[in-house]
Amino acid sequence: MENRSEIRAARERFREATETNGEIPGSLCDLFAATDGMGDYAYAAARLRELGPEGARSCGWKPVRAYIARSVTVEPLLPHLTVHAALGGIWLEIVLGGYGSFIDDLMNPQGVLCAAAPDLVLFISDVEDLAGGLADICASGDPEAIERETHRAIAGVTSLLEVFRRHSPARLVVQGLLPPEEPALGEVADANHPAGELRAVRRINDALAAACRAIGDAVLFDQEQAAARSGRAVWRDARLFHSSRVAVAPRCFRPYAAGLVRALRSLYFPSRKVLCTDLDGTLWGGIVGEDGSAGVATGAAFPGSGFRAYQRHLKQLAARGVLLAVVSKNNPADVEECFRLRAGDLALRLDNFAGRKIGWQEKCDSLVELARELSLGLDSFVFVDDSPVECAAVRQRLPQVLVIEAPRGQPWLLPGILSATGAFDTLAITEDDRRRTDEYRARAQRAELEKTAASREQFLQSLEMECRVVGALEAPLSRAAQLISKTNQFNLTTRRHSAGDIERLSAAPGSIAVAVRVKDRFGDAGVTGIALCRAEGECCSIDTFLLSCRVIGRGVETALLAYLACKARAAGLRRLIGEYIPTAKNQLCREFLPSHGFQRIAEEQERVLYALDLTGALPEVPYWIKLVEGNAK
Amino acid sequence: MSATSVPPALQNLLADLFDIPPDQVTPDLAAGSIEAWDSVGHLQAILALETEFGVQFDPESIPELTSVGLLQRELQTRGVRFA
Repeated sequence: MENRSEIRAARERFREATETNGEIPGSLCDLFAATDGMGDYAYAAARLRELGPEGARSCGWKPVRAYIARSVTVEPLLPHLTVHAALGGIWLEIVLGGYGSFIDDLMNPQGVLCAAAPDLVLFISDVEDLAGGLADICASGDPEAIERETHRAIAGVTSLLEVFRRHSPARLVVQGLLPPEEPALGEVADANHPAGELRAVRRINDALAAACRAIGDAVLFDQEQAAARSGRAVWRDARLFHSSRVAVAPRCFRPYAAGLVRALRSLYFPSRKVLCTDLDGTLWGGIVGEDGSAGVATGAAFPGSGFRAYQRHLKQLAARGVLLAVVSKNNPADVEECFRLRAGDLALRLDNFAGRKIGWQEKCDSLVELARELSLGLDSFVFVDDSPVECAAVRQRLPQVLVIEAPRGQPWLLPGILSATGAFDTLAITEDDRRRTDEYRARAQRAELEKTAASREQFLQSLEMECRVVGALEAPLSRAAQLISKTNQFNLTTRRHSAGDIERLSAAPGSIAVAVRVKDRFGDAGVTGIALCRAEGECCSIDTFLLSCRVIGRGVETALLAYLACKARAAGLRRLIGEYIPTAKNQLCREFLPSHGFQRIAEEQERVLYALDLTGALPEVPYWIKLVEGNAK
Repeated sequence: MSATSVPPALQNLLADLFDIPPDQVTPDLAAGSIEAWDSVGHLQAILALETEFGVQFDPESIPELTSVGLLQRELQTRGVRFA
């Protein structure tokens, strides 16, 4: 049990915050850092419910109406779910489906679920409900019969999800099945037999994940992995499962809710993009300026191996598109020497870091500079440092940055701590993610060239840019959805459409739904822009127009707009309507439409409307850009 | 039993679970007498008591523990010592 007086004080601060409309998210976070008491969960969940969607919004939380389709008893863990969702930035309004009515809920277009029109569906079931016959058949050890039964179950769950998607656009979290603790053939035979029960259940889970990818806006919550982390033996209490169909032991409600929320957050929030790490005591042991390159701890042998585990974790993050940066108070020459002399003992090279701030300035200033250089918001930054003082300074001055204090003397804990934050969780890893670090390196080379080119246009011309316009669904769709979910700066309307919305929009008659792929002689920036337009009578109306900040200012935005105008005119339309919806982050594109010949036609409270006469002069593709259509062969 | 005899640890926990003021948690407060103490609330309370006090009830006796007094007696029978 935690310190009782600490919990009491945290409860008191949370109560005060809810009564005075004070710092509710912060006090909630402090409360559940101190306690995991069931009473505290029930109390906090009740206060959160009272906030209502408006109150939640004013706390900075996203209100989400969630329907739970289930075959087991989930009521006792709803307070945990409510609290952990709020800790992750989502205020849940829960609509509970009938016990065991999940098939009707998911498959009946006139059913209770569809009538509730939820934003989100959580599908929570047990292996008994989706593959009830499996255990008995597996007990026979007959591979053919097991194969048949597994296929039957896979076909069943796949069609369940496909039918669901036909009549519901809601985002979906599917809970993976929990393989039985005691497989029917016994542990030894099950592991060695060609068709064991554990493998059969895992194959059904694989099929659930595949169905999630196929239907879109859906994610699998890997319950087996969550259970393994807590311990399979304590995850389920058979007594409670049999007496009340409570499928997770109360002691595991917290990790269960945290895991489920991690999965569902990936449907709503983009991951963070940059990891800034300290060096001394964080990336390696010791202080390079004092201990020298030879003296710092890193490499195959303990204690350096613990630090190398963290370096490898960073390298893996970089491989899937997270940008790494060094933020260190050191002499640059010492650091460069260390990376050179200890290359064999380090899992990272200095050029794995897209940003480097090595010097004696304040780390907050370094982070602000990095954000500017990489054209990324500080809210996409994670900062890792072993100094509590540096951590506190960043937390206080740059609250948008996620700060992680590296545990002193225990570097091997760091990958787990980083992972548990979910900061880099993503639903899909795209080709563009894999290329990102290279792309940022190419950017640095371009910046070098820009310094030497005589004029701006001469510089742009020397880039030999090509913009390739493809259908938004061929971007591919996952990349289009990803850009729409995370582009903040050059985004005229900041409408966060789901993959399903994009599909519907591009299927509408007369619509234009395109993505633009940009490359130049330094590299391929990949798909970096999206435009979605609807036809409305004689007008073509721009619903979404956005560009990744990586390519802004090189004429791509003009080329894309010129493309839209040309398409709309060719379709016989007379006016191109654009709108600008201001946000805290999109000042950058405020003048974009008027500077391209659009006339202001209306100004409403939350948006400005513009129109371009398509019978007059149209914006042109800049001469330094080659615009082509369709995917390259 | 008098109204003051519910130990604070039990009183506060049930007050949180049923979202009522602690002084309403008296020994004769019974299942069904307040909205929050329905069958779902009962299960929730049982799970919370088991977890917080480190005991396990016999599943067959759970439906019979229908008042605060009965819950308290059952906890004490199972060795819980209230300060």
